[in-house]
Amino acid sequence: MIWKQKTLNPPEAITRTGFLVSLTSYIVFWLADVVQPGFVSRYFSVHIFLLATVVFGVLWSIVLEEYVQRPLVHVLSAVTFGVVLAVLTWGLAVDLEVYRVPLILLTAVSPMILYSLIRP
Amino acid sequence: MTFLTRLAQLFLMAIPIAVMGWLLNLWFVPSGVFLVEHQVGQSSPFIDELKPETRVSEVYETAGGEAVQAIEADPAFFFLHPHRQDFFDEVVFDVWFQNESLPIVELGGLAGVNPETYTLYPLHNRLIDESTWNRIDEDTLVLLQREETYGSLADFFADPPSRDEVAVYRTSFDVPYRIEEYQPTSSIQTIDASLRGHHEFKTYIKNETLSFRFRYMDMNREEGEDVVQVTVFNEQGQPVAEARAGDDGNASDDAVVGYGLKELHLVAYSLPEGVYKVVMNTTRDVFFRDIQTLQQKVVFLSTLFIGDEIGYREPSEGATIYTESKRLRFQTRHAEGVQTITAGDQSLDIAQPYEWYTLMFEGEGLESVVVPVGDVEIVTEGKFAFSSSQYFNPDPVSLNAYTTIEQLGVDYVLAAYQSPRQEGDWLVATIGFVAWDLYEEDQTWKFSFSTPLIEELSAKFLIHRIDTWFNHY
Repeated sequence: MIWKQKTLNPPEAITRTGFLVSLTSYIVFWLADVVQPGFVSRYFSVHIFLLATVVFGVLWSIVLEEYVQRPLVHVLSAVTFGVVLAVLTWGLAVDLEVYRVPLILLTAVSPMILYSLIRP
Repeated sequence: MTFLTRLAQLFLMAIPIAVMGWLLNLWFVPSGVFLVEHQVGQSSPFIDELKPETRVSEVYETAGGEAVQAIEADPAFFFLHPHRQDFFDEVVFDVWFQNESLPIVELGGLAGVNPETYTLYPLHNRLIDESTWNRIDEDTLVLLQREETYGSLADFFADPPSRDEVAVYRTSFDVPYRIEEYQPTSSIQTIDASLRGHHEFKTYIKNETLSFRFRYMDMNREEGEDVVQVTVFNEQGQPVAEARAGDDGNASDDAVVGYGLKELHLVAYSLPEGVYKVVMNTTRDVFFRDIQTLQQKVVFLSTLFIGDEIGYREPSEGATIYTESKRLRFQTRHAEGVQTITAGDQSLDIAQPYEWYTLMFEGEGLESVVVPVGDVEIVTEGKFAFSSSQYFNPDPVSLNAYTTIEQLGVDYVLAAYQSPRQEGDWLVATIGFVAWDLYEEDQTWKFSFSTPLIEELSAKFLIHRIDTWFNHY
């Protein structure tokens, strides 16, 4: 058996780290601002991290040499995101009365629909 | 190369951690002091721009390139939004301003609503700053002397002059007021005027029982319970007696009034001689129709609201009031309150609702003012009585924007005041408010600039910066 050590690709490593850190930061800071309104947004826009996520994501996709599919992670992420969206929508759509339930159902499945459309 | 790559990754991961640390530091304020620097025209999540737009100018630049905004009518205000609720103990402002002509400018923090009350602190008192009298500054007090008699404030308080010789500004003078020739009587006096909502008055007690019988109606014009609470405070500001009546059971705004007048009797026995303050604390739904008392001296403080008499007696009889104030302001909120006020040979038309009208007196002494219809709010710096014999002035003469020090006829002025310091072209006044004294709603405090005479003098009060320290002890 021949072991081949995975070589470090600096641009990919840096952009991957930038993407993951930006995405995680965006979620954490956004949640912090939801829990305590103004905690972040009094000083700067939390969407700066979203912008960084997009920039690093694009750069990562450019320098990426080998892509490994992880469909289970994708599905789990889409389901989790769907649940979060449904909970948020339930809270925001109080005034919609009879349209509230169908709306949150649609919201809950929308990440999975989007994933099914864009997956290779 | 690997080392540099790992270093770059570490740097990327350190950024949000550092940002979170910075935000947590701002949130928890471990130093106990949180500073917000604000120049007019800049947007800030902590301090709003000056309002209303009809009373302030646009922000413009001086020849030196500094931003400035002018207050052109009274009052202008702003809102402050602390980032933590019930956390800060004190708010301290540094207000950078220029004031060429207004005698007194003050900054007030909203302390209560219904009615709105402000705790006012001096920003600039040109009557004191430009006085040629001998001046002593100690801590936060200023003593002006026509002739230099005292070397220090300690000397002044150790051997104070008589009350008639002293005017005060935003402080008290602790020589008690006494009427040597006062004798109690058993005859009942009636104040036959409709007083709407919250009022405060002072009375004098000497070897007699404090007794006030309030007869009132709950008009139920606004939603909410209408509790009536009348409290007596002694000369030390301590409550010594209280009477209280609950709501009539109708908390709606249906304007349905119960039959007859309700009655609340306030009585306190064996009070030592002195001046007592009585606070009639209630809502604007409650109309006190008359007050019967054994006391001979009763003066109302600062604000009167002569209510309408719909559902009580027709036609409305209004009221006649007596005052030594030289300036009274009137407003009605209804077309039915449009009327002509008369005072001696003067008359003042209250021509339309929601417009303030000012009546000025030139002469000295007590003036009588006839309010024929009622439904009028009256505001003054001084006091009101409902008969000339009831009038007395237990407080030292007060320095205000409508007089000069010479006109007060005193030899001393005692003031809680610190003159502003000079910073370049600007004067900078430092004013502190105790946070717990401020009325807070939606994590917001309201502050208002008091600029009396600004319209009469066509003056402008220019503001450059308002820096704020939020202090937590």
